[in-house]
Amino acid sequence: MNIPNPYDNPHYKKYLIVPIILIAISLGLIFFGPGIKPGIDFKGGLLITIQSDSAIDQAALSSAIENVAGLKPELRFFESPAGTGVEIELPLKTSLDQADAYLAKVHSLQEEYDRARIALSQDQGSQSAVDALGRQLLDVASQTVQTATGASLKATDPTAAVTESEQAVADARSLYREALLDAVNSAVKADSVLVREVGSSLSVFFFSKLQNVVLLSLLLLAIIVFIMFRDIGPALAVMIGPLVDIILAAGAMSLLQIPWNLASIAAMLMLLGFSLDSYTMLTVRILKRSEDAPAVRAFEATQTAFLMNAAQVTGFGVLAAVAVVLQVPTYYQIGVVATIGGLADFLTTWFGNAPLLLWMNERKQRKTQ
Amino acid sequence: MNFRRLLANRKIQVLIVLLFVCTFLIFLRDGNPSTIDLNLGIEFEGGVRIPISLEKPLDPAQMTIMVDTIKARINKFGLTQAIVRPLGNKEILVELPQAQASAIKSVESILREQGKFEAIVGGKTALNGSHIIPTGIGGANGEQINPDGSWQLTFSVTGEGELHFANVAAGHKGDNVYMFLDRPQNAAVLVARDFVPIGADIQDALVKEGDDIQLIYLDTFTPDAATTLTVTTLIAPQNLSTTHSAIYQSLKNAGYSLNASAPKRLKLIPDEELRPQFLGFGVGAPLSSWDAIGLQSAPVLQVEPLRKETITQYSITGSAQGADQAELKQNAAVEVRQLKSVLAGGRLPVSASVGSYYNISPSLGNQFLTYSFYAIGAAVLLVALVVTLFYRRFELVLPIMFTLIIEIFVTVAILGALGTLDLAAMAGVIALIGASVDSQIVITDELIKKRGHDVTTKRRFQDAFYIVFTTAGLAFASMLPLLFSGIVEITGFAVAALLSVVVGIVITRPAYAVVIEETVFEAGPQQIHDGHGHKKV
Repeated sequence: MNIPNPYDNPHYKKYLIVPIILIAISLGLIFFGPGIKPGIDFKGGLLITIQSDSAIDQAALSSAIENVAGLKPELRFFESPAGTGVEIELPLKTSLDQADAYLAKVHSLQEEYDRARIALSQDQGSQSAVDALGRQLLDVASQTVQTATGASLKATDPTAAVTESEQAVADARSLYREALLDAVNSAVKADSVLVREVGSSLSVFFFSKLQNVVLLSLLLLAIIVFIMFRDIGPALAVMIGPLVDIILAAGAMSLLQIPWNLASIAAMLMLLGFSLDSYTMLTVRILKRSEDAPAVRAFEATQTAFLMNAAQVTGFGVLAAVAVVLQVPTYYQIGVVATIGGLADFLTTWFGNAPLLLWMNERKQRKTQ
Repeated sequence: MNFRRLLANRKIQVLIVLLFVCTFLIFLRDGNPSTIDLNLGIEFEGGVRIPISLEKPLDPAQMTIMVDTIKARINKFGLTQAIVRPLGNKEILVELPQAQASAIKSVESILREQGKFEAIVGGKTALNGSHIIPTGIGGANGEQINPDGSWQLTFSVTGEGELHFANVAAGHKGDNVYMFLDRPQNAAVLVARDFVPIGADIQDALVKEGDDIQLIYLDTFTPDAATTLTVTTLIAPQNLSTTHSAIYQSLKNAGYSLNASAPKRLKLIPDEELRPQFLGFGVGAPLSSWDAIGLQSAPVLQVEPLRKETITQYSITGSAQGADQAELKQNAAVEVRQLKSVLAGGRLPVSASVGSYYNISPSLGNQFLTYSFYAIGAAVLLVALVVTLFYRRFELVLPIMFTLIIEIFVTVAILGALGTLDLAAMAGVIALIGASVDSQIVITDELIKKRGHDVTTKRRFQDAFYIVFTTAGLAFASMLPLLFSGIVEITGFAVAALLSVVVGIVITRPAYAVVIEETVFEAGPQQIHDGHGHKKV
């Protein structure tokens, strides 16, 4: 089958409509449609994933967990050649999360208190400042113990209060987890148990860290692209492609209800870096060469890009397929997001980047004439 | 294809050497070629992984203390083969190879446990852990490390502690202050005579009112003597059962057990822990530390303490050994760090808790591994199919696929030998199987593409590698920040991606260019120009 060169068409710029419409749909889905929900990595929570080679009684499991957690868990069941699995998602236990935050405050107050005591011994500071810090420490320790276990603080000495609140938080945490695991074990014979707990401070850390990572990646990419092409036009043209891929992948995430989490962001970054290869190749061949007519160069380059994208998507797709079979969440999130982004790559290459580069080439030639 | 010419090429030779090295890494590291010797993650081997979350981020020095402390406690707890390593600056990972249901509880109690600090002067306990203010140890103005290796560490003692210390230490100016962490009670230590240099005075360190540690020399100890031993802990050489089997047997008969919680415990430890350490060499060199009995440091009391019953700062000074200034400084820093940990009673520098937990049975892990390798195979075959459909020329497809397989082999070997092949890393390997052939496609296309007659082969390669290097740089840049993010859950993925780029750019792609040049030009220049049989899409 011989495909006529689509870039011979004088109205090739109209192809740009395709990616523009897709971007609009994606943005619509993200901002006005279902949107992308944060996974537990970013919102905090408790995720228990269990795999078992025997059947799972769904109702029994659900009620066993409800008895412990006090609320109905979100359950997702799946079948795979490796057995039956279930994912149990629970929000963070607010009292524990709160107690953790109090405990952190207890520790920082303890440091201040000790510093003040030491300063006092060297004739600096005042006894009243030490006493005030001690009272404050006792107050927060009492809140910690109260929140964690419901009991009241026994210690009257600030240093002993620190130890008591540490103990209370650790006890409450381990009791809750043990009760949950006991509930799970009573309902299921598990081959593998994965408990992932992301506290609110950790989720904030993940979020801000990944923001930096994404920004830094983009910056590094922009610098390299600019150094290689030494011209703002082609550099922009190269960078637009993967950005469009990412917007389309995000749109698909919204549609398929894949949450934002560490793995899906890692997949996005991989998409960003590794889809740049075909865009770089396109840009070099269309803008930097002068053999043949630009339309011919564009057509040949898009064919090479087609093969490159096809190979890439094959790899991503196999990962997604294995993930569906094995129900390994890490594989699934990376695989599906990358596959969708890779598929978007075809459209972006043929209807977005190639026409854009041809247009830029045309303008460049007009200028030189 | 001229194989002789190929083999003479330096790039091909490098590739072949690398292949041998990787084959060795994968199959022969343990001397048994029938097993795969890669470091596999818990997801594939089965076991327990427990990430410990720290309340606040730590600097590298504090992190080292934290990891060492947890490691030491875990070993003491009998959880052997545990791997403890830092993850970024806010998490520590504990991995146990066997799936033990009780592991999480053990780790929790390990985190809560505190060591027992005591300082003994003149055979009496002068200070204990409760006398020391934990936040008053060292710190910004409390520690000093000088370029000549000398150091000073200041710590604060409560008023009660000061009074007690002053009472006990009165009249002991010039004596050693023996600082112990978890000094064994009612114990004896069994050592080879040559561990203690002639003239060395170690008896003094063993003395404590009502609870002296007995020192027994192996050469004078008999199986009969073993039966009359009454101590509840006997610390002895690790290889006792082979070097002194009669004594070992006799101890067993006398009720000594290797079990840590037994009423009469036989604690076997390696020679380096059993051997007392001295400051310098020669007759009269002072004792500095002795792991077997928990002795961590033995500074000399320089002043006569005054009784004042207020918080008081004490300082300990010392001097590290080292060959040059850098080493002196580094060793001094280590000594200060260890001492800080001892004074804190082995207390963890920050509060730590256990949240997440991963427990997988070996059989399921095995299944994950098998399916992952199937996935690699499937991805390779499918990519081969795609490339074949496009080029329809086996002499082009075969080198592309061969290069891909080598690239996967090398990446997996290096990942599994130098790092850990975990689930995230495996995801990276599988996902990038397609992306890895892209550079080969670019090179091939540049070579077989119809271009002007003035375009030389050298120029074609230059053009191809311009694109290949740029894209490798871009791929690298996109994943590098992830690697340094400290978010361990996905670091393996970033490592796999970065490694496959490096292996490709440094080794396999240059070698591929050599092979494809040979292939394409063997086919004759005519073929080069007619190479666009792939206009069919």
